[in-house]
Amino acid sequence: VAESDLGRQVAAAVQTALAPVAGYLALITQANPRGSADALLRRPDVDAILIGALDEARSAAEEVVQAAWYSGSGLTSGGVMLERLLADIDRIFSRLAHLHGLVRHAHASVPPAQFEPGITRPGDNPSARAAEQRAAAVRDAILSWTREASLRARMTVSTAEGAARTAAALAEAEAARLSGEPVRKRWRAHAESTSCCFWCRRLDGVTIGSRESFAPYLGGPVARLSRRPGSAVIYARPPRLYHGDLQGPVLHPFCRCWLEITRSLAGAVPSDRGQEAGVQRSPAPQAHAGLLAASDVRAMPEDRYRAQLEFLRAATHELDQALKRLAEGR
Amino acid sequence: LTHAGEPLQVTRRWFADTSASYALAAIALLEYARDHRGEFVFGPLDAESMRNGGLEVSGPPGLLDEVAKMLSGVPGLAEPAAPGGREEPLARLALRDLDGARGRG
Repeated sequence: VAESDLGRQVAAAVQTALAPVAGYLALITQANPRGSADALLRRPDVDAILIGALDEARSAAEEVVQAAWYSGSGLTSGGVMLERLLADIDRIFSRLAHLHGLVRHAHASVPPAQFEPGITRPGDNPSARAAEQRAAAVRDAILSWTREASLRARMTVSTAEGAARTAAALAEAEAARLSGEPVRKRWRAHAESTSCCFWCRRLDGVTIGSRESFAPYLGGPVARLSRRPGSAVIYARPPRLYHGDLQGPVLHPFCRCWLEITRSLAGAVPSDRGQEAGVQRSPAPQAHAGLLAASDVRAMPEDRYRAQLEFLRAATHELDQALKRLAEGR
Repeated sequence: LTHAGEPLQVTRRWFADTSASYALAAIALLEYARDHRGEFVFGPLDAESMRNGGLEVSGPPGLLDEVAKMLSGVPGLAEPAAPGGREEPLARLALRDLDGARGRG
């Protein structure tokens, strides 16, 4: 997982805003062994501290998302994409009712206990012990939600960073296109990295028109056999596209792919990949009539690829049968 | 050439005994291309090539060694021993001789 400084920053900001709430609610819960969840949530101080913490986390996360958008890309405006990302942040931290539900559930998970003469050991205080456990459950519920919210915010920040780089590259492509240059865009992935996903590997090197979508090149769900003998078949489905389009990276949160703009129509076949910067790059093998480039095979939609393969297999089988029949004189 | 004086791209040729071998080699190359990252070009994939059994692959030398290893498992497919040489499979030579004999007869 590629985590940037901004990702770490937003995680810390969310934790800083929400962790004290967990402690505060746990303190009140423990101090009121006979209190109910309703009574806890009706307290004006509890609602005020919850709303305040959510606002603080939202505000900090919005700042980091904006920084992620503008800092690395050189963009001067946000556009629809930034609005969507900020709306995502707003949704994460507008879940007061959900937090209330979590607190209620945690509160109810530890039932009240009382001193029972003849059963309870003298000196023991079951009510206080239950309140202590209830307080721990409430604290854990809020901390667990905080971790979830923090992860969601990190995902949004990571998406903002990648999407901004793509938006900048597309703006460059559009300027070149308007000036009459034949521009194309190429998906590039860190395919040499073990963390690079199957779908990004598949898109690596796919070169299309600057206004086309990469979505058709993802292909459909695939059944892949693991290379280890005896291991299970993995049925994979491509990630759901952010707002249904794929003009360029990122394909998923923490995606490290990037968009390359090429200024030649002959760039349909990608150059060699996986070579370190500074090493002389070999020219891409050029596809002539009847020749097929490996990158084109990878860019083929899954259903078309499977159909071609099945057709060839069937043809091979038929040929084999025909030759056998001939050999047997039938 | 690279700094080490090695060629950046090379082309290697294979010959298939039958059209079925040619199709099997095409399947193997398609699957290899789909599952690996390396950039190479293969073909020609047309009726004429299927008839004469010729198949060539162009790409970086290291990658072509791997492709050759993979293609060595395809029955009826042979790579000429001499680089650049066009040695035809025995069956094809025999067929040509037969055709020649028919022509003479």
